[in-house]
Amino acid sequence: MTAQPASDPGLFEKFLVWLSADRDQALKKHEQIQKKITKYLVRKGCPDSEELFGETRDRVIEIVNTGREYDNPDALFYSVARNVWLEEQRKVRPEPLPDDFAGCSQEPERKELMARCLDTCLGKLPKPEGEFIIQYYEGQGQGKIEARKHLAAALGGDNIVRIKAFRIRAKLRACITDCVNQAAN
Amino acid sequence: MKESFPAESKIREYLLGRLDDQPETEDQLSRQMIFDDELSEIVDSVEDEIIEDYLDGTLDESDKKAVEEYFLRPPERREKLRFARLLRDRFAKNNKAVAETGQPRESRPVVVFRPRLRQSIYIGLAAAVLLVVSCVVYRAGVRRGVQSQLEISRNAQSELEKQLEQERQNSADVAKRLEKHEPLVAVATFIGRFRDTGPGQVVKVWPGTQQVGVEIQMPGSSGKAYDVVVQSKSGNQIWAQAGVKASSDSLAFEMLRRLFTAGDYCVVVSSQPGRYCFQIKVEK
Repeated sequence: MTAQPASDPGLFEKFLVWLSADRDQALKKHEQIQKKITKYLVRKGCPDSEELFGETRDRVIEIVNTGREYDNPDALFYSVARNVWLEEQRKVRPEPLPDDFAGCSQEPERKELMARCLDTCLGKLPKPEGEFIIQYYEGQGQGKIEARKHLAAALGGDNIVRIKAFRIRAKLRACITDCVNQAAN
Repeated sequence: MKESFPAESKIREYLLGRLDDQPETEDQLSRQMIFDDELSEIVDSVEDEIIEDYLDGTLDESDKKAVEEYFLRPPERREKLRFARLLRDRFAKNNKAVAETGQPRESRPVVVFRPRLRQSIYIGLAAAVLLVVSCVVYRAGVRRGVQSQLEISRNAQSELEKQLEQERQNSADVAKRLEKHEPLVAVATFIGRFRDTGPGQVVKVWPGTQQVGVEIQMPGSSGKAYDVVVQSKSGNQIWAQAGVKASSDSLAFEMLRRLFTAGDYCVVVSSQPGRYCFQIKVEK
């Protein structure tokens, strides 16, 4: 994991100590916070979440180095990130989405590779998960709604089905990313 | 799901940027989502669902606009969209369902067919089993050489054959109706937001249609009871029932077809804002 603050490395080290006296734990904590804040910025519709996280972290480093006591790194990071987001909202006019935002005109070779990787990754799923995801995507229109109602009835509710599908999709995405990267190397 | 968690509808509003002009509410939700990993996962799953709904074309115009102008601004979300499309394309090959018409969901009539064909088939099969049994009895009678038993069996067989033929005709009639998409039960299905403006979705009824059903998807409604009233366009009450129980987050009920003529109707559900409107169209 790399952490590349814009400010003085000495300040960054003090910042890590503030996160944790153990450097490895501090780096791990930094990574966790980075994921949370980046996710927050994505949820706020920011097209440049990584850059805004960097801005947030630099400000937190400056704040921490003023010597004031802040016991909760998550809370401080969130407060600063929210200010960064508000400032960004005030100054930035949203750009229109690119024409191909849905990726319909991806190169055929890449599409083919991703499709192959998806097949491979589906095969790697444990059988119950594979069966679930097939049922989840069964049918179209009203048929799909009926299929998902049956799943919800069998598993104990819509929320459970939604979370289960989300977890399996996340697993597939990670697997496909690895597969595509391996094919590229 | 913890009781302190926001409702799915609230999470969707948040993700579509509709709470950005309510700083206190937005701030409270943001904090909850950041500091509670369980809620954060639920929010992630609702994101996926918004993407699925967008690809399904089931979002209303306002939500669709919010997705394209706000929700999909981050490249991470566009990547999720591409992945979702990849998954759907993969599974579409396995599906035997009829292709989508391409029209937005609101302008496409949604009718669910619930034929009673199975009942006719079971009666036909039962008649066939009886026929087989009577044949066995007939053979036994021949072996024993009992003339009267043979005569009785022949009569029973003849009777059953008539009944079977009748059932076959009934099944053929029902099948014909189904072929022409004439449901015995015509259903109006409401998913997501209800329609309180305009004529709403069109529900076709045929001469053979016996029931008109309504199915309203209401997340979080399972096990709860609602008072339901169906009104004509002029506000006259057509049908009412108290204590209709929802199950699997869905409120469903059926009414006699003869209560309805062609025209606009709306369903009012207790404790629910707005109405669910649909139009009955009588087909010949």
